[in-house]
Amino acid sequence: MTLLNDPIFVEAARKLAERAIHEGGATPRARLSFIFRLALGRAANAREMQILQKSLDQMLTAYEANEAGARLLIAVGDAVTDSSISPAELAAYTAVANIILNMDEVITKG
Amino acid sequence: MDCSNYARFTTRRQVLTQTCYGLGAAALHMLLGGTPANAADRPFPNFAPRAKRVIFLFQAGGPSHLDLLDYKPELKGRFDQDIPPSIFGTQRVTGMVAQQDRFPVVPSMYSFKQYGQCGRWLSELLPYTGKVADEICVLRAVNTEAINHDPAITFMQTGSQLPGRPSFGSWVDYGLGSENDNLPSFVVLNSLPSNGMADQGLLSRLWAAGFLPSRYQGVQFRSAGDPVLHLSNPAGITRELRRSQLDSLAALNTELRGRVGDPEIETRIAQYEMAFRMQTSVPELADTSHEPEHVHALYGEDSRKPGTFAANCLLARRLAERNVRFIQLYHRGWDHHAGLTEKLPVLARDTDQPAAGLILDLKQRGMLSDTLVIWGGEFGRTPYAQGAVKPDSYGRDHHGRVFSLWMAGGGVKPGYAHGKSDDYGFNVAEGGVHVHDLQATILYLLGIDHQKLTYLFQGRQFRLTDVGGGVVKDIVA
Repeated sequence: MTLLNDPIFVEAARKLAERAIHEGGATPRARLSFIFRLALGRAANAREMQILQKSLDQMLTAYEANEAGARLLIAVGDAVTDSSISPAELAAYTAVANIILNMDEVITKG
Repeated sequence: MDCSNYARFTTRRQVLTQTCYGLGAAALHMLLGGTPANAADRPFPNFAPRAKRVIFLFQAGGPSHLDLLDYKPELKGRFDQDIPPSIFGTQRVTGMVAQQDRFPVVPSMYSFKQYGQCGRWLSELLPYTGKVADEICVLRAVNTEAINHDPAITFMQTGSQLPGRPSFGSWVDYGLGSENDNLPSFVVLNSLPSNGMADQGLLSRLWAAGFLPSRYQGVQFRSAGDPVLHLSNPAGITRELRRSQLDSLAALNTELRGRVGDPEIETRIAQYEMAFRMQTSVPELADTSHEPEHVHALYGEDSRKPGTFAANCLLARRLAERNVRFIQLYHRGWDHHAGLTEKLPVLARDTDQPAAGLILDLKQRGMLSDTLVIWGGEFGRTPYAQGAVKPDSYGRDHHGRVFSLWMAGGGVKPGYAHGKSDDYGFNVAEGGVHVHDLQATILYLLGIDHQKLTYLFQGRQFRLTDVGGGVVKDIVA
C-alpha cells in the first residue's frame, strides 16, 4: 500500500518518468528500458518488455481520454511538474514507473 | 543478479523419496511440509470444530490473578507474613526481587463477591465480567515456565520462549485457511491503557509467521486514524487503472517466479491482491458510525474513541462477523510491580466492560456459540509484595507458577471454573493447565488435533505445542 500509494513513491515514479522521457530516448521501448535498468540494474527481457509496453499503451489511452485525471496524478508530491511534457504522456509513464518500482525484484533482495 | 540457486522446486532428496516410495507429487509436497494448495487439500479440521474463530484479548504485562479472578480469603489473616518454604519451593524469582530479604504475603485489598447462577467469586474490579459470570469459564491453574514478559508472551503466542516460531494465528490460518477473501484471516489490534502507561513493548514478531510462508503473518491494523495507511489510490489513479497496474505487476512478478522459483513471490502477488480488495473492505469494516446506541452502550463510552480497548473489542466483533479467523487484541499496562493499587483499577476498568460487552454482543447475534473469546495475560503476579508493603498499597512481581484467565463461547463450558491454586495462589493445587495444554485445547475447539498441525523446518516437524500439550477436555462443553 505504501509503495503504491504513498505520495513520495508516486512522486518518485513521476520524476523517474520525466527523466526517461528526456534522457531515455525517443521511443517508448527505449524509455521503458531506461526506467527498468535504473530500477533493476539489468535489461528487461522480451516478456517483461511486452508486459510493460502493453501497460504503457493502456495508460496512454486512458489518460488521453481523461486529461483531468492525468493532471491530478502528475500533481502528486511537492516537486514541480515538468510542463514541457504532455500531461497524458507523463501520467502514463508515471503509472508504469509506479508498477516497476513495486516489482518483487526491486523491493527485495538482490 | 543470478538467482538460479532458488530454482529448485524439487530437491535431490525429494526426487529420491518420490522414486523410492512412489508417492504422488501432491501428497509428497504435503508430507514435506508444503502448503496445502487449496482448501480441499487441507487435512483440517480433523474433527467437527466447536469454534470457527478466535478473539484473543491478550492482557500484556501479567494481570494479578489474586486481585481479579482467583479469590484467596485464606490470605486475609496473613498480611506481612513470610510465604512458607513449603509453598515457596524452588521459585525462580526475577532480578527485580532477588535482592529482597523477605517475601511477605499481601492479601488483595479488593473485596470479592459471588456472581451469577454459578456463584463465581470475582473481584469488585470486574463488575461487568460478573454480569456475564454464567457465560465464562475461568481457568484458575494456568502455568508457564517463563518469568519475564517477552519470553512469556512469546511462549503463549508461539509455544516457545525463544523467538522465531509462527504465531498462534499464523498456525490457525495455515491449518484452516481464510473464510473471507477480502480481509486477512489473522488480524492484530493493539490498544493503549487509558492511563497511558504501556510499560511493555510489543514486537511485531509476536504475530509473525516464523518459518511458515509469510502470507500467514498477522496483519496489524492501526489503532487510531485509518486502520491501514495509504489505503486510497493516488489522485488520478482510478480503480480501473489500479486494476490494470496490478495485472501488469502480477504478470511481471509471475515472470520472475517462473525464472527464480522463490515461493515468497507468490506471497507478494497475493498481498498486492489482498491490498486491492482491502481498499474497499477495510473502510467498510472500520466505519462504526452506523452501530446503534445500544451496541455502544454494551462496550461503554470508550468504544467511540479509536484505539481504546473498547473500540477494538467492537472492531473485533465486526471482524468476527466477517469471518476473520483469528483476531488478536492486545491491551498493555498490566505490569504492576509497584503501585498496583493505583494502576490495577484503571486497567480493570479499561477492559471489564468492553470484554463483557463483546460476549453479550456476540451472544445477541448468535455468534458466541462458535466464537471463542479468551481474556488473559502471559503470567500472573506474586502473592508476596514487591517493595514496600501496606495493606492498601503494594506491588506484585511476575508469577508464572499459577495464574488465571477466562474463556467464553466457542464450545467452552459456560459458568464453569477449572483448576485450583493453593491457599496462597502460589502453586497449582489441582487441574493445572500448562501453556501447551491451553494451546492444544484452543486448537481442539477449532477442530484441530494439535499433534497433526505440523510444518517441516530445518529437518524436523514443528508444532505450536512443541513436544507437549494435552487437551483439557474438562472445559469442553
